[in-house]
Amino acid sequence: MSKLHENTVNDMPGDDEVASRARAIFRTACEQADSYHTLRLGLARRKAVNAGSAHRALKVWAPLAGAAACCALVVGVVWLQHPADRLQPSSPIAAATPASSNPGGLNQGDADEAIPDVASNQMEVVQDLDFYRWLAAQPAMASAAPVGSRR
Amino acid sequence: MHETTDAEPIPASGAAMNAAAALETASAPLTESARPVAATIEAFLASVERRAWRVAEIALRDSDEALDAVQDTMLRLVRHYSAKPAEEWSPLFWGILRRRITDLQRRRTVRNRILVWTGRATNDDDEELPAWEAPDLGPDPSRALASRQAHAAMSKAIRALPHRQQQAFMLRMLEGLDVADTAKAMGCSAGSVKTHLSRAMDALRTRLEEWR
Repeated sequence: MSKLHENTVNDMPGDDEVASRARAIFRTACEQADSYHTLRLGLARRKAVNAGSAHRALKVWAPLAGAAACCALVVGVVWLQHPADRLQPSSPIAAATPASSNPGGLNQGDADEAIPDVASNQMEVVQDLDFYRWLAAQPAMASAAPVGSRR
Repeated sequence: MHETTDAEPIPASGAAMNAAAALETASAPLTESARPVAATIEAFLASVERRAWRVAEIALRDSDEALDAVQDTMLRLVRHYSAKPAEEWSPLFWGILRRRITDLQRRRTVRNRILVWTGRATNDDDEELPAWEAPDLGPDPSRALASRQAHAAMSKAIRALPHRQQQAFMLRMLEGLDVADTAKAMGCSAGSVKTHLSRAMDALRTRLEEWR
């Protein structure tokens, strides 16, 4: 026992004895823990370590998944807010509606309105678009033709 | 139960401060710095789990609740603090366990009050309920029995202390944390730790005979 330690014990008689006795009892109690509780402590430790691994993996992947979901959401919103942009002038439908082939007096805006939404269930209308244009032009042609020419 | 605030150190007498300083030196061989630092979080938990369970058992007087408290503490440490340096694991672990024990004690107090209102309260404060214990297959059953009795007497003496004195004694004397780590785990100043510990030792000294 060191000199300092002896002085300490002399200053506080009984404290060192209390401390050492308490430690000894506590150490013995820890060593004599029954197998049931020892087993459960080991299981709890393994569970904590495994949960920590899963938590770390989640911490890595959750931000990436969140960013991907946000990107998909933004793209979807932009897509839904600009449906007219989906019909490019180079598309076959738009190319089939030139201004010169509009003898019925429809301007370009009317033609755009007349073109059905591709996303809707009106594909039959699109397929018969030439017929409907011809049909729309018929009264104008009939009124413009002279009466005697039919005979 | 009397509990002092942690915001400011407790004014202590000169004798108490001398006693605190003496305890500081007397417990030096058991400081945490003397223990090897665990390389992994699992190794750290394996090294501390039994002591943590015993400390929680002393404070809660229930083995299963003590197990739950230790398991919660392990989970929280691994989830939130495993990236910290290994030297910080010990005070963090004991701080989490201390708060968990306090939560469980408060919950038990509320539950007992509700049971008192409903007239179904049972007073088990002064009696130890019989518990199943595994058969002792060790070489010296009488010695093991004496150890268990000594542990029970020590636990009873520690439980009789005020809450903060219990914590200071168990962290500082039984677990062997140094003053700084004990203060960190208890969420108070080093001066408060010394004062709590000194008063705890004063109270326990008179009960030493019961531990023999």
